Amino acid sequence: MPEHDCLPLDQTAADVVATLGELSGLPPRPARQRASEVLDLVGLDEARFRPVGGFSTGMRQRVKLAQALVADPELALLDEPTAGLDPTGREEMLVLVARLASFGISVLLATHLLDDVARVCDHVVMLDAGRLVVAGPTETLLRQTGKLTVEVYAGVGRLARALAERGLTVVGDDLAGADGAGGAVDVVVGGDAGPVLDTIRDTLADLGLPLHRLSSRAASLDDAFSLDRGVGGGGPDGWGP
Amino acid sequence: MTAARGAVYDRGYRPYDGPRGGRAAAVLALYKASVRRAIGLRRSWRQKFLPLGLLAVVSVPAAVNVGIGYATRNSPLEGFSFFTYREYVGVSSALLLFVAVCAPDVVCPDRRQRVLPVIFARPLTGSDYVLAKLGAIASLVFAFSILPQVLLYVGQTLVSKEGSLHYVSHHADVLWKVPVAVAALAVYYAALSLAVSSLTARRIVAGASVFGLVIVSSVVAHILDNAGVLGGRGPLFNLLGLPLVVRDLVFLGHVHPQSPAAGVPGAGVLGVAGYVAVVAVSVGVLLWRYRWAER
Repeated sequence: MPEHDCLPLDQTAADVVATLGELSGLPPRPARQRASEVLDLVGLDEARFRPVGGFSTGMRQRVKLAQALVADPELALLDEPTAGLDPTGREEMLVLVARLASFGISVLLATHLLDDVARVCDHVVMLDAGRLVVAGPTETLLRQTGKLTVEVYAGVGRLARALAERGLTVVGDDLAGADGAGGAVDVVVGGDAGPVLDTIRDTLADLGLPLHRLSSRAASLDDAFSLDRGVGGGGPDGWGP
Repeated sequence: MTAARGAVYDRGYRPYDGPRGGRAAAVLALYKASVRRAIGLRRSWRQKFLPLGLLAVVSVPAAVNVGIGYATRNSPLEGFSFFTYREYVGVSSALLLFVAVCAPDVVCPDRRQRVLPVIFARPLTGSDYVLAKLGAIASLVFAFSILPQVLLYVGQTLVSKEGSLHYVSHHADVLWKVPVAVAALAVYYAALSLAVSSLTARRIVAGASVFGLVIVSSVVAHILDNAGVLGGRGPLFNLLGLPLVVRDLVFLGHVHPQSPAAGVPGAGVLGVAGYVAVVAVSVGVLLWRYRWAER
């Protein structure tokens, strides 16, 4: 599924997908049948007999996905499948892509939208100018770059300083001036969260601070990308060793 | 409890476990898709009008000839014919118009609308693509040239005063000469028009270029002939004339005395050599234009 426009505009979606199905080796009748099925699957059941030239960007993206699926491939290569889509179209496309695995179709997704990757991919390979930045299971990368949010009713400034003194990387807004006030601090979890949680528990107990909430905060792949490229990572609001 | 209305059924995904073809099946599919596209099948009536209209136009002389043969069968004009089977092969202007319209239509949109990457994501190579497109246009030119001939032959057979069997037995050679000559023309026109069309992504430019190339070649041939250079071989530079030399050789075994190439020394051999050269160069251009798909 190429990123750019790649469809004959004066043919109907059904003809385009069926013809490309035949080019993939399907006999004519099964190709037309499969074309109807996959166009139905991608949500173009009623529009499939209209010329592609009259389709919106979102509908063309769906036809492109349908032509990639018509021959029931083991692997689908999708290049920027959400390019040019509005939020609703993007959401629907990601839901479709996420379902492909349940059909037994592996997907290689090429995109610069890391939020899309985090939602639908099991493994990530990040490249920067042809150089491998980071690779691994998405869950691991998110966990490695994850944060814990510690929210207290009072003494957030003291808590932040104490956590930093005990070797943790603490992130928060203007914590220096909020010594006795309540609030939340984010603690970066580099790897295993267990020792970090122990340290937070001990610090809260030593300071006698009232804990309101302790939760893991979802990290993004953007963090992993920036971290591995050496960009960001403790800016003006970053406290820690 | 009311019955559910307007329910959406997710029928899910059904894997395909039926037969699958290889490269040959893909080439055949591309060939069929190109034929459909060229004659406007599954497209609007405007796309059907020109190719089918041209077929009707090139069939008119045959119908008129048969009609006159029927009307004059018992008169002193009996046996009168506007043209011979040889002359009816290669109604050049109609064929040129046909390939100038259809050949660009089967290759230019693929390049302009960037469909080629999707096509070559299938088990097809550049040479497969060239073969399918060449086969499609050549088949159509063959069909459009042979159908009026069939009409003429069947009509003449039916109106023959001596009877159908007598006509067939006295014109049996036509049954192989016409297909061979028409096939030679079809390959020539298809290769030339597709090669020119492959050089641009715009249909109108390609169509005009096909016409332009042929017209320029005929002008050059005329100038060379009048200038008396190249030993009088100027007429062989006319791209429209080369396949007609081959046609004459098929029907007569020599170049017809009224042919523009008749006075050229060694016209037969040189004409065939020119024909082969044009087809070879055209196919070479096509393979070169789609060579990137081979990598």
